[in-house]
Amino acid sequence: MNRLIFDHTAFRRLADGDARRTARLVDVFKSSMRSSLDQLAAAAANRDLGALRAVGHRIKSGPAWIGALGLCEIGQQIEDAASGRMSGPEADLPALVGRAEASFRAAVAEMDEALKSFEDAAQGRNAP
Amino acid sequence: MSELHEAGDAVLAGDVLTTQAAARLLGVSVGTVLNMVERGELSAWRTAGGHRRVEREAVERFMRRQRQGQGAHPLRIMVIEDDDFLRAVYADQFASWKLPVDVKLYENGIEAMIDIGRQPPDVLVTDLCMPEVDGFSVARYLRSDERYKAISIVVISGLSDAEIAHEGGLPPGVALWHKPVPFPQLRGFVEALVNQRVREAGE
Repeated sequence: MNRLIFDHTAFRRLADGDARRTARLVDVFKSSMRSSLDQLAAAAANRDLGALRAVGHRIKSGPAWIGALGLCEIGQQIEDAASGRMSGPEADLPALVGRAEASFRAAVAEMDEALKSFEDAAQGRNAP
Repeated sequence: MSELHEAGDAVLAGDVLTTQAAARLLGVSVGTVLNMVERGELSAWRTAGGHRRVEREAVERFMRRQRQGQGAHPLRIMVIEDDDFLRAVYADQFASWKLPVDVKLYENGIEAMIDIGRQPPDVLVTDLCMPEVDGFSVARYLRSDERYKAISIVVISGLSDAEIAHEGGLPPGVALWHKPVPFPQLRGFVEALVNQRVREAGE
């Protein structure tokens, strides 16, 4: 089980602490990852190892930039399991896809909260 | 053969030109050449008989500067990345650097290859694992064609060195960096190219 779900330092660094730029990237991340997770679920249902490997590969690095390290770890595991590099109970692909979904939701909650504090801080700076 | 030798009879021996020869090569009038000499844009001197003579090297240097000035454009950068989020991060980072660059982002190798054929970039940054035409194919194709030799290619991949070797490796002359995308390194790389262009334009 991944212990580190969200890296706040990476999140703050994402767009140099700029709340507006960060919010825009968060939106893209949510929509992009939602699409990837849907693809994972479909691939798992169809036992499409090629698609699982490809999507796992894709999500093992991108989320690191926004701090979603748990997703990166699970993406790596999905790629490994679908490639046959990992076996045993940990290579249970439907379970890994479920964990990716849960990790995404947890990361989104973290980044929404972090973004709110960004915006609050920005409003505080702009207050008369 | 130097392009200056095509001026024919008006070219004097060696590195010295008459003002007429310099004017013909530059595509301007003799009067313009004289004005350029007066402004210090061309090195020249007078003979004992009072005739102007112009250094061939000065004319060549001026023509090089003109060509570079006319062809000057922001550093053209193409990025091929199939991850929507990473493309957005690339766009955000490049914009925040405020460098004289023209960045185009592509989701896959096919669209990029079509555009490269139309107008090659100065720099290509590409992922490797992508649907349809992947980064391996793009890098190999570009490195096998003399027309694209000048493109700086940077591969940024989540694959390990062993996995890349297993896929047949990358051609020579391709930089390989590993994901997560090392943006500070990429920025330094782009800045160096921008500075190099500025230096060359000033020579």
